[in-house]
Amino acid sequence: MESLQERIEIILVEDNPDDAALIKAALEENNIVNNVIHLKDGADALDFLFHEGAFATAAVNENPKIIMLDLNMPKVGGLEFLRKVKTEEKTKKIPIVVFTSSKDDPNLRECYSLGVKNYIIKPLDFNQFKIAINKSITGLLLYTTRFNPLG
Amino acid sequence: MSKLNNISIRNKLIIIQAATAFIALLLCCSIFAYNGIKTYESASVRKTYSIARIVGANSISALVFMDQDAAAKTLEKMNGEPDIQDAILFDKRGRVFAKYSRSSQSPVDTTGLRVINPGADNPMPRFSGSKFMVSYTISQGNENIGTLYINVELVGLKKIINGYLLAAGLVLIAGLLSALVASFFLQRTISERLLALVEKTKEVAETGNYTIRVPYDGKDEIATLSTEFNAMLVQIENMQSSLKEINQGLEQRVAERTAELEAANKELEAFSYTVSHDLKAPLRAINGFTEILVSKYDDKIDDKGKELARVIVKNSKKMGRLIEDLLEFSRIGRKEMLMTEVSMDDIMQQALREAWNANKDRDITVTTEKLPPATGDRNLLIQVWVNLISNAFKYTGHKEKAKISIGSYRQGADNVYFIKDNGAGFDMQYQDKLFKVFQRLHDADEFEGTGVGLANVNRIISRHGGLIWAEAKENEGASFYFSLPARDK
Repeated sequence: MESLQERIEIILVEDNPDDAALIKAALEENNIVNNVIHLKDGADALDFLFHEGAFATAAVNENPKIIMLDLNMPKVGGLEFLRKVKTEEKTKKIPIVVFTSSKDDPNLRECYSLGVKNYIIKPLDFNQFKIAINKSITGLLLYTTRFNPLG
Repeated sequence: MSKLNNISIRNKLIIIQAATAFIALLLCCSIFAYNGIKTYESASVRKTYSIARIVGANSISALVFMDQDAAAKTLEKMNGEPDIQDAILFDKRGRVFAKYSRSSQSPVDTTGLRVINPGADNPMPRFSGSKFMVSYTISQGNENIGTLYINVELVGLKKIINGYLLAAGLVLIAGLLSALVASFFLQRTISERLLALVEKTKEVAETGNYTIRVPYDGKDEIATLSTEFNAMLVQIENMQSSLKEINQGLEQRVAERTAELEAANKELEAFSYTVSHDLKAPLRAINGFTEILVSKYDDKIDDKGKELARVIVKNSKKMGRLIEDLLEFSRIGRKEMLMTEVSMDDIMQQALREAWNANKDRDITVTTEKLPPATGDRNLLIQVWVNLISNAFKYTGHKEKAKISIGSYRQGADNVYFIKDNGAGFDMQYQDKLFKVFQRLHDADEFEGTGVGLANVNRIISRHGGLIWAEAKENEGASFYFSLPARDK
């Protein structure tokens, strides 16, 4: 298990550092202690997944177990990131959870048609946020073999 | 007449001209024939009188000397006249003295024949068919000595009539033929131009091409018709082109306005989205980190600090709710409505069940009537009932025995639905604030809420073409009424 801990299992793509901190805290409070890397926008996340730019020399070649993605980000936005990830053979099967601030988000429809069915409308209440994250992640990790909820 | 109308103008003109010529010729022929016959007849009568005078004069001596043979010989001399069939000479007493018959086979029968009134005035002869009789009184000095009767049959008259008939027939045929030929050429000046007009009219009607013009020449009625027709075409063409211009202008304006509206709508959506995104993110941080603060640093914060943290959390939630309500209010205003027949009874009962579930431990009597259906957006109308019913439950919260009644009545073309409660009510002088967004008539401490529910209901009802109003008395209850156009109006 020790070696698995070092592997990046969840990537969190979120431009708002406070939201990122909250999501991490929520994961923690749900006893999900898999290695999480926070990337501040879609461009960084793509670099990470395809070993380019700052991550060109990264040793890890395996895909993460889950991508947690905020739809609204500067530079490479959530949708652009999704279009790329969903068309690449290497990454298209990675489970994705999408975050948005509002159910009015016009990008949700395209998101759905790109094959992402798992999304969370960021609740204001932290307790609800924890519950929503727990539901989404547990649902996805049921299909993964190396997840250890007890860390 | 309708059959005549089916004949083409061309043929009609030919027929009219031929018929006119025929009738005119027939009249002419008839007059000529009648005149000819009458002339012939009167000439014959005059001739017969002359003969009667001559024969009468020649018979005087025979009558005087009672020489019947001489008288017969004198009469015999009339055989040179083929028309004279027979003649009888009476003596002064009226007895037959001598007679003459042209045909020896059928001599005139004089048995018992007498002149009743010899010497009377000789009347003008009467014709019976082609026959007539002339009487002549023979006199010597002042004494009537005999009367001569001559029977005439105009043997030649038949021939003459036949000749007239033949001539008239030939004239008629020749006249008719020449009339036909003449009309065939003459009718062109009318019919061909009319036909040309008809052709052009058809073309205009079929192609809708109003730039077509009818060619015309001359100054007659057809030329006037053609010029008027052309003038009409010019008017239509002008009207059409100006209509087209107006239409194009309208289309352009509609397109412009639509684009403007779409842009405005997009902008509004973007604004709402920004509001929800940008206002909620910091609130989420405030709420989340306060919670984390309390849970993670539990041992380092005293009770006073925890109480303050709770106030922060409570207010962040309240602000979040205000933002959500504001968003909902703007969503209701612009959401496209899906109009269907909605069973108001069903959705009212559904909203009622939800309210019951949230107020299980309370003593509330609800009476309902069967409600008429409405036409509208089902989801929006559900919101109306959910709001009004939850309000009724909420504002009866302080009553030990709450009473709510729901029903409807007909008012003209509308159905009016109502919900009455015996709750807190409100002061009617503030009723104009009732349906405005974020306006509250009660303290938030007493009854919670952001004051957007009735504003939403008002928006929904007015988008459905209805009205909403309320009656209330403080601490005695409130009645809310809303009208919707009835389906069977």
